[in-house]
Amino acid sequence: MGVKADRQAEEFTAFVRATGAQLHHAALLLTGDHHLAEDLAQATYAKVFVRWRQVQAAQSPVAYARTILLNTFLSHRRLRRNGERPSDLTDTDVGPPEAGPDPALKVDLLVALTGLAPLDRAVVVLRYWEDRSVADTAAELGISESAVRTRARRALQRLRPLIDPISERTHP
Amino acid sequence: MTDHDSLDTLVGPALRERLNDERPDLEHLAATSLSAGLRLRRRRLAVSGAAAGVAAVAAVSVGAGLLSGGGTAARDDSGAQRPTATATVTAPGAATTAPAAEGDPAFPVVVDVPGWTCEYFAIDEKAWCTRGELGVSVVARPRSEYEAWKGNPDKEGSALWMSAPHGNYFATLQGGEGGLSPADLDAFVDGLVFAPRWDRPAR
Repeated sequence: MGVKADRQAEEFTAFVRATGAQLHHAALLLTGDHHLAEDLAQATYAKVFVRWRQVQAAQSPVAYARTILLNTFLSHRRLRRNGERPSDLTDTDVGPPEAGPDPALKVDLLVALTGLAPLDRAVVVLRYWEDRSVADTAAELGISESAVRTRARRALQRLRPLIDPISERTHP
Repeated sequence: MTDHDSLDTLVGPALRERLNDERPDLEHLAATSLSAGLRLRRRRLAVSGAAAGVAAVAAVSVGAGLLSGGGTAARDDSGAQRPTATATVTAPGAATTAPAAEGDPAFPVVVDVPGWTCEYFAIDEKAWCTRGELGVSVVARPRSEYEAWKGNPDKEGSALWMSAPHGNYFATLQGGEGGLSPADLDAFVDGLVFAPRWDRPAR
């Protein structure tokens, strides 16, 4: 690699070091699996590297990278479940719950997330992990604000059995 | 039991608590991402370079024809023989990286499907295949992970296809960028050739 390429590689590596944990965590919430999260994060950063100049010039490079992460996840999942469209909001796109209501089962929150439709997981990540507003989340995912609220509400209902015990520990 | 509004404020902390101990290997992530990003760039440059090269050859050919006489230009314009960028990029002569150079670790799966061009990255345990805008990656995985993958909606379910075990490994197809049809997938799977064993590269 030349001097310019070396500098670019160094800048990119520093960017991954600075943002990798955040994106890897988001990938883990989306995929629910360490291997898949690693693959998703790597695929995301590879695309980031290809568009490195645009990423650097972006107002928020990490937000740019996160958008690539979400698009990569959703486009891949859409191929697998090509019936789902962002505007469709039916009960059928949320499968049967994998997490039982009994906290004694100690079902992992990540496992519970994998029981949600991919777009619902993306809503959870943006709304609750990234603390984005409903409007921001809707804009990011290309769905309506009411769709964000509906998906978030359904997701919370599914996660409630796991969150209640945590809230009792953290807010006794 | 918390109501919906309070639950709304508890999800973020619950997720953070869950991920508190998750510490990705950032050096590994940076190294593998950089490597994958460089490959992606090279691939795009190769494709766009091939297309540009063909366009340049075609332009020179047409130009030479025009210089050598008016009739030639007409023949060039009407001829089905004139190469197009698309035809040349996907032609059999397009670069197909060998599965492994001598001395390199070998990738255990060879893709022998007409029209597809594959690059093999044995050290990354992956092959990347393209046909026009379509892209599929073939990932070799150790046999020890087979049971964890089989039937798991987020593992097998996330893959386009999963092979049976072959010796000490199995393979999955991931990606499908560009909208791989079921017929494309079937043809792709039919063209996979599996080695009896996999000499997995040291990690």
